[in-house]
Amino acid sequence: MPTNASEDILTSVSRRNFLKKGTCGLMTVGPLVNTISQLKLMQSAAASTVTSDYKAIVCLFLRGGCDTNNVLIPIGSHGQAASYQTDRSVVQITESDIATAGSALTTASTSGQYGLHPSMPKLAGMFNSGQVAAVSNVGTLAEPTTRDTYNDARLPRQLFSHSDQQTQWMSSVSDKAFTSGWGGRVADLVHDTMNPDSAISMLITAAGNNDFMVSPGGSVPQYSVSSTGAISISSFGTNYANALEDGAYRTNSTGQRLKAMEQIMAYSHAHILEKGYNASVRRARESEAKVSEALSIKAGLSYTDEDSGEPVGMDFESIFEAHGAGDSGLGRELIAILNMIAGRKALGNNRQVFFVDLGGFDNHAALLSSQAPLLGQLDNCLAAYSDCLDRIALADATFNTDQVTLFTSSDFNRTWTPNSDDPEDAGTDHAWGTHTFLMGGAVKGGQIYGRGYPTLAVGGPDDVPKGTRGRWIPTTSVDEYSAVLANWFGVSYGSSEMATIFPNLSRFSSSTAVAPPTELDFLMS
Amino acid sequence: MTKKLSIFASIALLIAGVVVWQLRPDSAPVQADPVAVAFIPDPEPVVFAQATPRPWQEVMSYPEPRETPVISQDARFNYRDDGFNEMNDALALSATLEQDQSVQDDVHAVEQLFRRYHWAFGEMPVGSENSEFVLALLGQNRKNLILLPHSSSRLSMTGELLDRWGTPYFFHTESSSQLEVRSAGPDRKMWNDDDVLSAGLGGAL
Repeated sequence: MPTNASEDILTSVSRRNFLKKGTCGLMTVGPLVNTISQLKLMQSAAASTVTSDYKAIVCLFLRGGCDTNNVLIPIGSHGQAASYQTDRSVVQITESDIATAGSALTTASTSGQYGLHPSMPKLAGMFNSGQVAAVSNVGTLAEPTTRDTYNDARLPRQLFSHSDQQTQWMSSVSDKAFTSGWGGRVADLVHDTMNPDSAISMLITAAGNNDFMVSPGGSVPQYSVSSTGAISISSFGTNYANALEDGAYRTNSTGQRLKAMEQIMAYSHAHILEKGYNASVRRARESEAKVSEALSIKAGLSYTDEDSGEPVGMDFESIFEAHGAGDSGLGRELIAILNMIAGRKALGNNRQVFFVDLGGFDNHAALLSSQAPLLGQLDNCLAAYSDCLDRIALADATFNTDQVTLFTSSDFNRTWTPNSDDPEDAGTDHAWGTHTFLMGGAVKGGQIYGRGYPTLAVGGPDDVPKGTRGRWIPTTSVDEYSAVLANWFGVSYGSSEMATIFPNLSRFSSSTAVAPPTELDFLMS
Repeated sequence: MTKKLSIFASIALLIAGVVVWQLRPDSAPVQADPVAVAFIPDPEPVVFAQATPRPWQEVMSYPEPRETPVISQDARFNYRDDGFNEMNDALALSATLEQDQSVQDDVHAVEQLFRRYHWAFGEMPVGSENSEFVLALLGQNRKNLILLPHSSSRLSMTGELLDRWGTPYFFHTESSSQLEVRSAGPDRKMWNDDDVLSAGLGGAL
């Protein structure tokens, strides 16, 4: 039978021959495609500015508006110590209590001596040893504002309101509606360039979703962790431990539900919302694996105790317990991020932002008895956190405590005068400028930064003109305070990135500034 | 031989295709079609006189004449000749504070005054002291809108709004849209179990 060439080819290729030759061909093509893909990735990585050092900032938000008038207290030789005792009357902290607790600050500022609340002797100790710094009278501002300009100045929206002031502290934009947090904007701008090997979000929260970490358009999602690791997707049952065993699905109903759910998540969808939902769930599962890997790395860290010669592991829980913070919610949140710092190599991020919080500071009533346990908890937690970071540095030669900086924020400070003359009931109400703290190896500690402690007088030069209770007009804006942290993180002063992250910063400083103002030079470069 | 050549030619073409595919320039992200949003017209705007806000004492004693007459037929408001505008149903609510009613009704009425303020301004008044909120209700606001008459017997000499026992209310600003009203209750001491809160809540904070 006559045949043409093509028919000849078809008839001469047996199934066996086709499989044999086709497999050979595919074996050649596969590695080639892979190599080309890797070359592309290398090319794009080389195109960006890659940093290999690690830096993390930890935002500790004190929810409710902490009365920092009773946290950073003028004592002894301070010119306003007498005003403090008189005006604070039934909510004052006595100097003898500070002396007994050992919470006096040995480093006197130019304006005089200070003490911390008697519930905070450990923080005072860390301040005195140079690990902690304070910044006085910081707050939300839309532009520089004084008592004289208050009535005409552009003011933050809804001053004295919890929700709005929290949001503005987190967004650092006080005169516009909220769109994103400054932590989120930092991540949006630096994540790709500084975290080329990222395996998880740059924004990790141990306190649930928060405004600080909202990135523009959701470009960098917030990822929640707990002290025990990742927060599992629970729709299939209770937790992954019940569903998985050695990486395989268990045969129980929980395991089968997880298997079914993951198979559903593997489907492709035409609808953009379905696609987005699937991507989020898949990303959560991938991140969970990375968090587990980080916990494994942390579990493998140890150093040799000099005295006993025994290996010491990273038992953060025991350290917090030893500091009296074993059952603290803030303690659990800090342990969650310490785990991520210890196991950071699994996460692949050179820059990481963390968020934790402590609530309960809206002390309109019984300030003295309500605030003391909260500040005590804060004190114990921060001391334990510092000890844990020291241990990580001992166990991991590539880590140093100057790579992590913690800073505090709160809705606002509270009114200078109490709302009652009954010492048991008296509390304080919503006010404005507050005092903050910074902790970490990069902090130039033992100093009180800012543009001076406020004049502690109702009707004084720092008081809001409308009112009778003492609400300090901030002399340092949240923008300026936060910009120092962002600069340490790698966002240069004067850059377009800095202007994008803090759009109002130029109202407080020269747009050509290349370094923090001297009053706020609280971090090493 | 021809067959082998053909097979290898096919594989070579396949490889070339894959190489070209991999080296193609990244395409721009596909832009989703803009989502059509149903247009909901804003409610009919209320026109208020735009006189310059004045301190409370001045408002009480020396109201200034309005420079630009407001032309409006909105029956919900009374446009006064002195430049201030009264919100009629807010004044009716304020009047209930003068009547014999329960403290719960009082607290509810005060809360509703703030709700109406929010309706008119899109936010709660700014402040943390009783007298600051009262000034806003008395008309010291950007629309000169009066929601509480300065003749109210519930006003103290220092401009605070008092509860049924003569104690200033406490106004707790949760957010720009949420404000809690608290009466100290019959014992006249704030922050204990006999306090009366808006939204039917009671007890210490």
